[in-house]
Amino acid sequence: MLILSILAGKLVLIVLRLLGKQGSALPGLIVEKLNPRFLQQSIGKLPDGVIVVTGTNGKTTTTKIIAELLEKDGKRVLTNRTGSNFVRGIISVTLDKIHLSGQLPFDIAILEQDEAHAVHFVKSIKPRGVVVLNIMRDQMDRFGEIDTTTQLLARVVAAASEFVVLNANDKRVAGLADHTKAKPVYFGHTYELWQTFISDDSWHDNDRNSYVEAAEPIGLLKGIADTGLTMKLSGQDITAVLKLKGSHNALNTVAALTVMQTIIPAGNVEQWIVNLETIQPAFGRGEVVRIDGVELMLQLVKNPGGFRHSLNLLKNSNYGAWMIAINDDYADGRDVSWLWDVSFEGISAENPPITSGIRAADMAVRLKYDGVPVDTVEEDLERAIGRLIKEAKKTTSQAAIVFCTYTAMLKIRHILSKKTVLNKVEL
Amino acid sequence: MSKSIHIAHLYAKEMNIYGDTGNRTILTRRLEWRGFDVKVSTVGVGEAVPSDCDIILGGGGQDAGQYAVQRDLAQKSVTLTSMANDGVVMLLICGTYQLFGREFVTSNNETIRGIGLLPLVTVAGAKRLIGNVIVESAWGKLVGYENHSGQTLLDDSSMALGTVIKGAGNNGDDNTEGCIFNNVFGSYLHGPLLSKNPEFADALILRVLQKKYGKVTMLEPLDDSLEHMAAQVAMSRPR
Repeated sequence: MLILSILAGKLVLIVLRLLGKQGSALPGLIVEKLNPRFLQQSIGKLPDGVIVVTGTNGKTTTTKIIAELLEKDGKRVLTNRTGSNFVRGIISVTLDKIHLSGQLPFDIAILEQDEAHAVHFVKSIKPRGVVVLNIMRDQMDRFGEIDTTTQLLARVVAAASEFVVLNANDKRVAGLADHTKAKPVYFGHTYELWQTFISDDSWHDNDRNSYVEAAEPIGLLKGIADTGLTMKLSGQDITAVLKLKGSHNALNTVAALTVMQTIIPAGNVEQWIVNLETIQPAFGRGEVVRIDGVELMLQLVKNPGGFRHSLNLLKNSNYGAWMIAINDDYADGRDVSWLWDVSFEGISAENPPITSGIRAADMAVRLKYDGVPVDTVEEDLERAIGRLIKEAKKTTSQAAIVFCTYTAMLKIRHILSKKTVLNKVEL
Repeated sequence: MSKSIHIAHLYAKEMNIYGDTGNRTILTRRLEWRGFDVKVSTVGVGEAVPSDCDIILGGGGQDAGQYAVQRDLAQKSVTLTSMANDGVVMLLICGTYQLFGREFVTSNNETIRGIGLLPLVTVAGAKRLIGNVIVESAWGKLVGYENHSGQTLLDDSSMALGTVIKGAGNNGDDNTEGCIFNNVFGSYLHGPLLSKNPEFADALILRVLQKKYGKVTMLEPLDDSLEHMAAQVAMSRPR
């Protein structure tokens, strides 16, 4: 059954590729029907197991860091780079790489999983480890209440056989330790960083007493500066200068190193840091694109917590121009109310922002009430990007930043790919 | 005469699940742009509603938050009811709107008592009522986004905020959305509600000023072209 399902699946994949269709769930669907135990027979047999990375923000970047560090350490890593993080997407990724013989030439799988889909995934595969980065408010229309998300994740961590890596400062995440027999391993940040990582619950009253003391974290973020991040890993002091900018990425990195330490307790940490400093951002997550002589940074925003961290990128730099592109398709979140749980007061650059995307006008209204006048409201992303590039060319920094929701980010990448070379995002 | 308005935000911490704090931001700015000083107080569990507040706001929350708040709200019931009868302006969204009714019957058939200020009851429904909404009201078309499984049933004598043109509204059956009692306005509309409905925001402000200064006051008009643009787009979006 395995070979037959592989043959059928690969055939469909090839046909779809010839038709120019990427990322379809069809191969996965066909394999699921033909062979419901496909995942158990393929990634379920990997010698070093499957690690699931989940949480509201940071999954794609953290998965990428872990996968690349392991690869540079000599491991053969299966991972879902496009973040096709539903079960059929995982099947498609596996189908692409599995040999007709049924052999999957990898040692370990590091898989990013959406919280809701992870629950289905762990019915087929009991992961060796589960990493939960954070639980924040996210698209209410897709995930509903944050308590619901927490309950889903309790079922996911319950399936972990060996370890769970948890955010010690996020009380909902830290509490997941009570729902699993796997060994809890913590990462976190010091009290000094309380405001940078303040939770949605405490953001409105800026309460420093909301800081949750980290329970003996293996990875502890101590400081973030232009000169790099400082942290402790199992008590060892570490400094690293990352290509991945922003406070959120500093904590994602600490999480990734905590996972590395857990998988490879006697690892060569110095070498890991050397490799870490070469890692490029994932697509749309702080991805820098050079076009027409200027630099555009594409920064995905999905929810208040993520947007707050992303705005620090603008605050701590000298981008001459900026744009916020808000769509409201299903993957973006259909309700744009969440924009009002982010503060834009005092945010500025050389030029006032352009707002773009389907809900450009709503974003302009949001900015107006926080005292940020808008340069233009331009729904059309191509025209907006053209205008942004023109503005960026006239600035000192010759750089601009674009905060964009998911489908806006994909469209912007597509627009830019027609004019310049972007890193192709392979399956 | 002092030109100062006091906004009291009920359960700002427990009931702020989706952008409804934006209503506070919007009212504050629209008052400030007309030369008023605005004082904002948050009123949490165990804290008294300030007796001199001019507007009371409340937002939506998670089910868990609602249980915590419900007990405390009962303690504030007498004060709030007296203020409502006095004509204090209130804007209550989603979960707070429900708690200001007589009761909420959960999916387990438990009855949670509300403060009975608004003439309505809410019953947990099987289906989630979610999506873009357009409501025809006395202030034109109100546009927002609803997301609730509670179905609110108004008493026969109650006044709705408006009639649903697109979406579900109170219960998906009778085409009513929200409820008005005196100067108390309840609604399921997020958006937040005031972000794309500036005429309604100003109507609330006018009622505040009329109650406080006792004469009909004209409000200096503001440039609401962005809000109108946003409303047009929102109304054209699929359910």
